[in-house]
Amino acid sequence: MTQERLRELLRERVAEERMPDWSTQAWQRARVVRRRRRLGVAAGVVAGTVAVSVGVAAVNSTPVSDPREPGMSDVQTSEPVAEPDATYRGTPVWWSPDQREERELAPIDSPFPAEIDLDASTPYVAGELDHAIAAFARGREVVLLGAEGQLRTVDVSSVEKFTKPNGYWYFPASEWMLSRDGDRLIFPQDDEDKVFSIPDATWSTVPKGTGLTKQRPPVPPFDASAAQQYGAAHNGAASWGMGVAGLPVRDSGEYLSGPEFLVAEADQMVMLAFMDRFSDGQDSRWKNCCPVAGWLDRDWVVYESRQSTPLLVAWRVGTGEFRLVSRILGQYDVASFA
Amino acid sequence: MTDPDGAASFTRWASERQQALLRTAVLLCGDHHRAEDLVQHALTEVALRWSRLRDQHPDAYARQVIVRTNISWWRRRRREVVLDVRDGTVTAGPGPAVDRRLLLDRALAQLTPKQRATVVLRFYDDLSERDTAEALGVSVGTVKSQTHVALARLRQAAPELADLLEEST
Repeated sequence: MTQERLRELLRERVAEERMPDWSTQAWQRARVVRRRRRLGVAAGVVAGTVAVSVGVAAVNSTPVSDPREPGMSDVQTSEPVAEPDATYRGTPVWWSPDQREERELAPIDSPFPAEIDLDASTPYVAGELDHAIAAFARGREVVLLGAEGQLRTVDVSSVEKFTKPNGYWYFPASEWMLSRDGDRLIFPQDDEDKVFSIPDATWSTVPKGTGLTKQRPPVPPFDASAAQQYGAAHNGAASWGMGVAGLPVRDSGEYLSGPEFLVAEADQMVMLAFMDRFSDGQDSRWKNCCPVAGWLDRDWVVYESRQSTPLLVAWRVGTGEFRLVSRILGQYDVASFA
Repeated sequence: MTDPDGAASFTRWASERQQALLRTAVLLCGDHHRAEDLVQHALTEVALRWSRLRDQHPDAYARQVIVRTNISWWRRRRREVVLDVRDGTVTAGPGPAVDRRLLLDRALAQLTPKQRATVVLRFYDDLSERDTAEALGVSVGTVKSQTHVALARLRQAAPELADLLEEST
């Protein structure tokens, strides 16, 4: 085989190869990436104040100011990136940072502390909290996070295992255990629901099925029957597991295909696909990685990123903007947010 | 006409070059869809650095991204790639292009990704040994030795191809 013949053969092999013009998309994609990186390196630059009502979509939010690229003209304003990273059956899709990139995100001002150290919790004493903004179940304890960042442990060993209709039982801590106004913990029992009142630290019971309040998740505008919705729905946002084939990822060589995703109702239904970078079995996202935790305001939705170091991450819905809300230190089984 | 943010000059360059980059990528990875992904990734990486690259060598940078991303991808998926390699013992028919193409694909699949990249960059893109070394991030000496090994392996892995080419010269 002469080298010249090899050249001819190689040219013949690919002479007919064509692809659609991707030049414009590449430029737009670069703008999104540049913007994300800019946000990423801007750690410490505190964004404009964000309204702080967790769990309730506030209507008066102050727009978040964008850190400027060095050298960028002061008169240039940075609008939220409106172009999605991809579309799936007509629905705009944005790609989340992967599990490692999430750790490097710039912080956002929120009611949550930058670190939630569950191991630093102390036993709860009646009257210390009038409500909690989050609750983390770990075994037969629940750690309450107060509005001032206090961490208090409630002993829930009096709660019985719950038997499902199919005969299986489980400890009934769930994403719904903290009430919407944050003043109660609710646990379904076989015959009734058990309720812990946070302000006075007392237990009571209510008729079965009347304790938990679940919101209806949004309906994805495509067939998502192969994927299972998980976690609590919060004001038009909820998460789904893997199973939607063909859902685009940032790079099929780098990220798990058919990823889990979040659907949120904004001006239109939009999706956030959770990028799970291949990591040789180490450092992966967990199954049902990213339940919705709530909204910081009407623009920013917060999701739990369950991985080796769990995080709370905020996504400005319908944009490529992401911020780090909190790092969660210490193990827990399930979290619930008011 | 001014082009303050570089969008016009970038899209002009990318439109002109992307088909050539695609062909290189197809030869590197052997799969059209994967090659498109590689090119899209490379164009984005170039776009990110366009203010610096526009007056330098964007082609070389794009090619470098494609080569290195493909090798990185192969390392993570090597088990799947190995399963895709066929035995290369198919008997060639006389001369149709489709047979040559099939034989070439199978022969290239016998090479390591670096050997394959060396062959493609040297004999398809006609890069010098120095430029090939730069794209691969290795020394010129490594390019020389990899080229030698790769060509020998191609001849050994696909004698039908070698025979075919000899016949048609």
